[in-house]
Amino acid sequence: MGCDDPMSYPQDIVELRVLGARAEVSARPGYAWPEPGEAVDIRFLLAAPGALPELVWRFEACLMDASPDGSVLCREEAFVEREGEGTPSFRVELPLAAGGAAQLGVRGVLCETGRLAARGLECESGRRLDAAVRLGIAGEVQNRIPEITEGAFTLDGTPLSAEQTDRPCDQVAEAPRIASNARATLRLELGASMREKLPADRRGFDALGEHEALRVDWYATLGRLTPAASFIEADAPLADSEVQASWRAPEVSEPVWARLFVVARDRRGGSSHLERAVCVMP
Amino acid sequence: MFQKVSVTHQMMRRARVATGALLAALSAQSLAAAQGGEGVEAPSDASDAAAEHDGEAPSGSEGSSGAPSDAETPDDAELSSDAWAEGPVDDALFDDELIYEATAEIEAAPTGVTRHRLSGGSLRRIPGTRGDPIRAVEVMPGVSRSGGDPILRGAASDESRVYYDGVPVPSLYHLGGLTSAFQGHLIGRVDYEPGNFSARYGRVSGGIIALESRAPRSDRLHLMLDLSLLESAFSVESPLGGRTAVSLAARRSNLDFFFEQLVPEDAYSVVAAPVYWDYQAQVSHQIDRRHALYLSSYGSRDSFSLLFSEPDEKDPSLRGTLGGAAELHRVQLALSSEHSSSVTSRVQATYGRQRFEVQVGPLMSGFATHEVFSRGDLTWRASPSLELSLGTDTEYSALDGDYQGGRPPPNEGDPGVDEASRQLVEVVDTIHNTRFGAYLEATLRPVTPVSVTAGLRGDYYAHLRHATFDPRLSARFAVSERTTLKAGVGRYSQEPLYYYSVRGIGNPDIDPYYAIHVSLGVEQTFDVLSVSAEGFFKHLEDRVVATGGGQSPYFVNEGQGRVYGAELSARLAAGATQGYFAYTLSRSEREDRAEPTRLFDGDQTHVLSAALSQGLGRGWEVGARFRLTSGDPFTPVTRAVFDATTGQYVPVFGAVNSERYPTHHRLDLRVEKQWSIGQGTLAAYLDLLNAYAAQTREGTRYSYDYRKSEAVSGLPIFPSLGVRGEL
Repeated sequence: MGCDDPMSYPQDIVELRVLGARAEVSARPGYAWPEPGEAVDIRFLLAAPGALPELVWRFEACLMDASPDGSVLCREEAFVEREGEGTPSFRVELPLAAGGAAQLGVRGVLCETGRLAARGLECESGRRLDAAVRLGIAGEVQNRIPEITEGAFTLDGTPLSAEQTDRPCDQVAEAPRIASNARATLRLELGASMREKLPADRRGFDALGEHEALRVDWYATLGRLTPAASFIEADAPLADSEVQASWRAPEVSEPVWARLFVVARDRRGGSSHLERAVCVMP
Repeated sequence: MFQKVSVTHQMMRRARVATGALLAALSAQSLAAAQGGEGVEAPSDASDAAAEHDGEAPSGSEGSSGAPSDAETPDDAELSSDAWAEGPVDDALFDDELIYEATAEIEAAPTGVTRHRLSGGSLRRIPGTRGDPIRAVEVMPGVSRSGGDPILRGAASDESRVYYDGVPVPSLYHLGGLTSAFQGHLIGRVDYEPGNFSARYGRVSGGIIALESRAPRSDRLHLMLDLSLLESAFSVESPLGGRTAVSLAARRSNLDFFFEQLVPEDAYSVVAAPVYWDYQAQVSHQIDRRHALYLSSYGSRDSFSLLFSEPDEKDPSLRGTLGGAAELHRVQLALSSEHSSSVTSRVQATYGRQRFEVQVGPLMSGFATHEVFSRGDLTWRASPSLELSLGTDTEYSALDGDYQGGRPPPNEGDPGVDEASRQLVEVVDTIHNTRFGAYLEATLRPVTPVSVTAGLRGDYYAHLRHATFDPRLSARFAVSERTTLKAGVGRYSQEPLYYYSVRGIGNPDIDPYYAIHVSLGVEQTFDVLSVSAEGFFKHLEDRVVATGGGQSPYFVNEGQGRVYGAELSARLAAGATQGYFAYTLSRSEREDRAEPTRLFDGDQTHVLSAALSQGLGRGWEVGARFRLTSGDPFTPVTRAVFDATTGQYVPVFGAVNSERYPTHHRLDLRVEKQWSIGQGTLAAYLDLLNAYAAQTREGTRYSYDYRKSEAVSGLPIFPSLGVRGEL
């Protein structure tokens, strides 16, 4: 595709984006699905080419049946509403009487450099971003979060660690470096234990196989990632726990930070993410 | 590059839609059979043509006179509505002396209000059809443009049926409409009835397309070889002794020889390019003067497969293997009898085997079906003013299915096609479906110009534990020798799509639904011109629609609909000039539960088709076909919500089918030069499809977040050069 391609690439961060949401039961770290009466902490992952712009948000949570198409379809009115500024992060307590609902639905709106409407999931001004996440309701079936551990994310075999990107990158001696327009391989090792075994009555509902399927999305503020997402399919051997992507660094005339994001999801509401930065040298 | 992407994207979209509709795959490809249907007309033979050419009364029974009879030649041509059957005949088109031995066949009385009949080999010269008489249906009134099987009078394609020798077939076309699935060379007749058809057809609420094979020619050996850019085909016909004749035809596409040039190498590797093939064979045996036996077999296969080297960079849900195959095999035994000068019958039994599979990454659907069809029909001409027809049909299918994919949506009125976001389901099951049908029909001609046909049809759907009864009435009144008025009203029950009643993904308590057809028209013939005008109205009741929010029981009988419009068609037959014209103005609406009225997915307000061929002498012939149709309705995306659960954006749609794609228009040209060489002929031809490269918008491709979109274009200009030799 040439430069006149009207379609955009999902892996490019060229404006404010929502990339994921980490949901974690407050009382049971590492688990994404709350039981009735439990609280779950939800934090959305946002990314922008530079610093996050000013934004306000409002989210609501409700009980729902299994969604036929990925949308949050509330059974009744939302039982909780949260709003705030900056990165959306809030706690939701699941009612004790979940009423046989299949899922906890959380949906909301972010208003970039704007204001929320007086009520509802609407922006009065500014650019609107809609986001949602659906979580199962734990009982006999639980859902562990597919964690991304330190050192699991590598660039050409070198583990990437968190960097402070508020300084020019060539002044950060320990920052990983890559030459302008060079190609590198990104790898993520998830570990075989990240793919939970599904109870027989959940197969074909949560995943088409004996174990969870995992999806890993790659994002970059600069350069070009290929592919945009990697998959470990449900029928893949448990030993297949590594995914990789190719990243071509941007062509630059001066040192610049390129930020890379990786998000792992189990399609059931379990998700974790990591943000790393690489210095691109002319 | 861009065009390549568009072409392949269309294939992906088609495969994805097929996969997404669970057993929509099943329904689309196989369950025409599982749905049932019948239609009993025997392999056409000479008597058909003779009856029409003799101007037999349109309301009378056709082709039931004694055998053997004069035969229709493979180069005969006729496109007739019932009015045209009485119209002038171009003698030049019927000057072949070939005689086919064949007994008289029981013949459907033209009890339908509007039956358009295409017969004879020179329909192979209708421009825009690439010599394919089945594609000539597309120039008929009431036929909307579609990406696959025809949409007849605003009915979904699964609400109409295609029959081959009286047995429903899953698809009329190869590869979603590229070319027909039956070799036109051995087709003797194509009947097209868009509504108010006879009670001998049941379990279908839309329209009927009935193909009839032609009995093998028995005068001498006949050979045909046809080679073109698109496909290679041959046929053989020969007598086997004095009473037996045999025909065999086969065809294979040539697309795979150049397909790899159309796809970008860096995107995916081609495992198997699109390939289709089909075959038809028939043995006819004249037992005695009154009985003839037909043993026939036919089949087809379509397949393609792509392997993505890595997930599509803009739509990661497209990954791994994308492909599918559909295969059909049938064998049929039929006995036609003329018990007396007034009683004829036909009995037949058919065994079939179907396989279908489609895979889009980790999602797949596959099934194998055994199917058995049986049918018996009897016609008794009790007196010159009374004819009675009765018959039964039974249909059984055993389907082994395996489906892994998104929860199947309704096949119509659902704009969402994103598999990645759909709730996953897995179904492995064996399903047995049995259907019984019976009909009784009486045609009364109290006075010469008036013919009234009353019919009653009953069907029992064993797997649904439900019976339907359909009364039907039609009448024709010949106001003058050249003018006929016609009218009809009737009830037409429709079996729901197969997967609507599968436990776990559908509602086992779903019932058949029905349509009421009403039509009124006039036929008028002039010297070289035959014209037909007709108004129609259809009311649909108890349609199957999805439940709100896609919750159990998933499908309910809570939909309605209506289709209304007018059709104007004309045929010009003036010497070497043949012309066809059809214009349809219509509107097809649906109501799903209590939601506002919306347009049907395939609603096309205006459909205009015109085809003209002109013989220039010395073996030259040129032709052109032009088609102009309103664009299909589509549902706009108003915004999208990022679903952090799956990493995909979920579109939020506006009112269903509230916008419409641009008007579609296309011109196809054909030129053919024929040489006579001894007993044979050699012809060279050039078909130029989409001659002025009109950009057709077939769909919309959205960016990952639905904020940008681009048109998915249709067929580019496509030349097909070929040669055909016949002996």
